[in-house]
Amino acid sequence: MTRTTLLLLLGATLSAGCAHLTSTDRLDEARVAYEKAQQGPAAASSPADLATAKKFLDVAEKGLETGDPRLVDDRATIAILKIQAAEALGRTHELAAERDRTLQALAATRQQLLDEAQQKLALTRVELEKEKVARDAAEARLGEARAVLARETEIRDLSEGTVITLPGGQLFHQGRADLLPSGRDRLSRVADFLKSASRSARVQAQPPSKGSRKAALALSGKRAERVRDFLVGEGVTARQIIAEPPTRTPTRTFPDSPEYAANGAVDIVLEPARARTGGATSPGRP
Amino acid sequence: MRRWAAGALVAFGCACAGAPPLPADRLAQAEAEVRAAQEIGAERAPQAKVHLQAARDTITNARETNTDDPEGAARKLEIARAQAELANALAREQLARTEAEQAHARLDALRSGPDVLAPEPTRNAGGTAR
Repeated sequence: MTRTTLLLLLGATLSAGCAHLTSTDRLDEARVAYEKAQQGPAAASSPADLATAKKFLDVAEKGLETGDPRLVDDRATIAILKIQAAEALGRTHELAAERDRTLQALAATRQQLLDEAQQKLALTRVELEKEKVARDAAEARLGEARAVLARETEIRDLSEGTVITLPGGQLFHQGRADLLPSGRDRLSRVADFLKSASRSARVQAQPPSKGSRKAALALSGKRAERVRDFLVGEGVTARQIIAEPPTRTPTRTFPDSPEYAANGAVDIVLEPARARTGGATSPGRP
Repeated sequence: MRRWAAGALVAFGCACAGAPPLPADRLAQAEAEVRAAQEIGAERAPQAKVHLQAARDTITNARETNTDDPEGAARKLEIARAQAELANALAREQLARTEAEQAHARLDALRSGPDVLAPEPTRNAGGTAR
């Protein structure tokens, strides 16, 4: 062995003994993870946690001085875990902020919908109150008109409605269909009642029981038309009232009197009041 | 003769002493962190569950290797603690995600069909990141 070879071997041995550990794969991985975390939500939302993770990375870097790769790897592993935890906490902060924003929007939307619903409710209450006042006034007018009518006319509340019966003699000469002046006055008050009621009505002329049946039916038909036309002329709307053709058998019974037998009668039937759906109470009569 | 006997006793004592026990404080910290992760529901979050189990395994491994490598075992306890902390953070993230999704769902439901009388939900995670 030459002297030169001995010197080379000695040099190689010395350099191997002083070899310096510069990094490990795990430490490289930790460095990359930290670089990546600096660009993510952890930097903005959990900087303190990321700074703590950096301290652990520094400790791992310092481990290189020991020359022990296992120690460096263990410390790098801890640094990686700390970095990942900081990232998770950063995402958590962002999610919590997002949740809070959504809950605020939810509360605002709920309040807005509640306000709108309350406004609608208030408007509806006002409308209902107006309707109730108008209905009460109409019922009061109807009651007054009925009271006036009841002084001179028979009014009955039957299942088919309110029936106003006028003896034929109060409206017509016997065997005629022209209205008497006094009959017009009575019918004017009937018209006032019908207008107050604002419900559908029909005119039925009951034929006299005496005399020719055929002629009596024809006369009754004319009388019903005449009465209906007069009521329309007095302001009852044409759609509200119709004249019904007479039937061969009386639709309802009449008092057993010669007047009815000789000159028949006219019934004006006002349909029953509909049941209310609102909060107002029914007076119990049409 | 006396010197020889004393030396033999010391040598025998050293041979019987074995490895030192795991550092009690590090073991306690790691185990406490594992318990904290369990309590917050890490078992129910898939990612958190993985790290929680890893922490348990690492503690077991530290106990097993303590005799041969006490320094390495002590470092393993620190790794276990960090693993449990990560499990804890991931579990909290999952909670926050669920709450954010639920809040979005409630807002969408309100906008599509308002139920203004429904009660407000109670919060769980509440920005509880540590």
